[in-house]
Amino acid sequence: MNRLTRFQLIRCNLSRKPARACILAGLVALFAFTLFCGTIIGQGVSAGTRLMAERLGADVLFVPYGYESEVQSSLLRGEPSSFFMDSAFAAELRAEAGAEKVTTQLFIATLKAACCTLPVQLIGIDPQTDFVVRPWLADALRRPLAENEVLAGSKIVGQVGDEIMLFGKKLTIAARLDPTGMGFDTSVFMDIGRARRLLLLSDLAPRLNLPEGLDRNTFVSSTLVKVDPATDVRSFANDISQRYAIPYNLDFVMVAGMLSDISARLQAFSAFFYAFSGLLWVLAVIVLALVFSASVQERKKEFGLLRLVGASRAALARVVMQEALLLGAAGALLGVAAAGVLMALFKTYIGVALELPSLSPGFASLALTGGGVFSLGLLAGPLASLPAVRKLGRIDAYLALREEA
Amino acid sequence: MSKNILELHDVSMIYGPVKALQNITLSVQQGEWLAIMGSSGSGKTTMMNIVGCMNKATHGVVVLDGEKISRLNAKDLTAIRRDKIGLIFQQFHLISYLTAVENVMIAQYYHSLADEKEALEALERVGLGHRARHLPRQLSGGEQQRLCIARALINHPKLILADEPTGNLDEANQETVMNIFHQLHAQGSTIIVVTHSPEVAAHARRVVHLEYGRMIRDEVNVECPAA
Ligand SMILES: Nc1ncnc2c1ncn2[C@@H]1O[C@H](COP(=O)(O)OP(=O)(O)O)[C@@H](O)[C@H]1O
Ligand SMILES: [Mg+2]
Repeated sequence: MNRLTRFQLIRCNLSRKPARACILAGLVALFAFTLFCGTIIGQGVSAGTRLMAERLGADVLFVPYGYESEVQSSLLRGEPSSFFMDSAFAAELRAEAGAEKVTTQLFIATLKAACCTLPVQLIGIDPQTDFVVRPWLADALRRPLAENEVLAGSKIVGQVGDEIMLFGKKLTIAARLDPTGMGFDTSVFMDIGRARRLLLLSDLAPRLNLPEGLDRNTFVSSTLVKVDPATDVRSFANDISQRYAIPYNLDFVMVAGMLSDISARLQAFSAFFYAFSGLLWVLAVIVLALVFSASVQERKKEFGLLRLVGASRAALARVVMQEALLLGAAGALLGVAAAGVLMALFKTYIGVALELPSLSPGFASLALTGGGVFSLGLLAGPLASLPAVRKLGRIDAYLALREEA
Repeated sequence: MSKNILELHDVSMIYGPVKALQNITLSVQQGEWLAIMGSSGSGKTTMMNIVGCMNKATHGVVVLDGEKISRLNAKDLTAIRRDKIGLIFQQFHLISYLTAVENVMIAQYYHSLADEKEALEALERVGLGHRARHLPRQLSGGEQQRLCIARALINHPKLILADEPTGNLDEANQETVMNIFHQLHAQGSTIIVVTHSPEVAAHARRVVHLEYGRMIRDEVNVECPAA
């Protein structure tokens, strides 16, 4: 067909009422935007939680009493914090049946570090027993960390061999970690003994409230345990905490429990988003249906005319449906694109605001979700046009024109 | 003997208490130019709508080009209207947001295939070649009616139906339209013109008179020279 196509008819009609077309497409866009954001965030959390156990490698964290939430935000989001317990507990734990691996870590919150835009958390690790950080090394480090060497998380700026300043000391990056999606990404790791000495010498020391009686040479922040596969994690943790809670004033966090906290929050969050998106979708369909219906009424004469020049009812129905499809497609595309751009731009911020450990969906899941949301948005158009199409069927060409005359 | 393009057998159209058409029996031969005359409300438009496949008679049989259309469904009627009939209206009934040439092409589009070249030629034939890219509201009444005629003719209809084609036109434009009809008639088109104007009816070879839905007279116009 030369210049005149059905598409042109549709375009002509849509462009006669640009504001109306924009509002209708905007409604679909709003739906697509909400559903897309909600789904991606939800997916991010569930992927994050599923991977977390494997990532952390530990089953139970023992921390000073009252610091359960602190250790969680440290590990999950890298929020700097400092708390202390005695490392003698780790030694006792190693002797317990069911403890496969035990290691200790020392968390030191630094103030703004010169190297980095984000606050950096310094974590002392025990190279002899560590089983948590080592697997993340980007390149194997076949020698012990030297006195002035650190491991850098993936978001710490600097190459292997670069120097960074922490607590007024020049430290050299000996190796870097792969991205973990956890707080490790914004952490710097060093030998735990070295970290302890650095901390005690720094001007931070007086403000740390180190408990009386804590051995200044051996204190740690948390003790991480990998339970052997034959042992039930919960009963192990309960048993240990019953026997050691009083002497060491400790509490424990089960990694699995930490994750189910997140899952519960995720479920509530997803339910809300899906309900809200569903509502928006229904709303969009209803408004579109009303407007299309009204528009058929308005265009009665035009449609009657098209019938006179030979358009079948099916042909007119196609005009209306394709107009709806076009609006739906434009809206859905707009919504998905806007959501995609926004999520990409504010990924970190959204993760922090929603207290999520990670928000980096892969391309495949992005494309799949985008496609799904787009299809739903697309569907809204033709679905909403059904009442209009029905009404169209009742238009009698001759009567429509007669009314005008 | 020429073939009958149209036959009405005892056709009636009844709207509740109103008998818009009563027992009309009429045959029209191919190539004929027929005028349907009558005062307002006499049933002219009703008859034209039945013949034009826009409406179905409540009683009687209508045969168009050998096909009994009085019992067809709306879908088939649309197809027949599209393929066999060219419609011309007093109110022109053009699509306001399409240009002149597009208004012609839309009829081609629903018929078969829009062909801009052919559409432009059709406009040329009614003297509108220079107005092809104008919207209907940018055309004068006479031009709009000529556009309407170009649209009606584009698919080579077997029968041209015109309902008060000059009702909204001044004398000069009426003359132009009648000249086009004379050309069409000379080329062998079958034309039925509905009018209440004796002046317009006088151009036709045959005049049928309606009154209160009844056919009261069917006469051959002796003054009109044979085509
Ligand atoms: N759809 C309709 N419903 C009811 N009455 C109608 C309808 N169409 C036409 N009529 C009536 O039928 C009669 C003939 O109308 P019409 O054919 O339009 O007359 P004309 O074209 O000769 O002026 C009129 O009385 C008119 O009111
Ligand atoms: Mg009339």
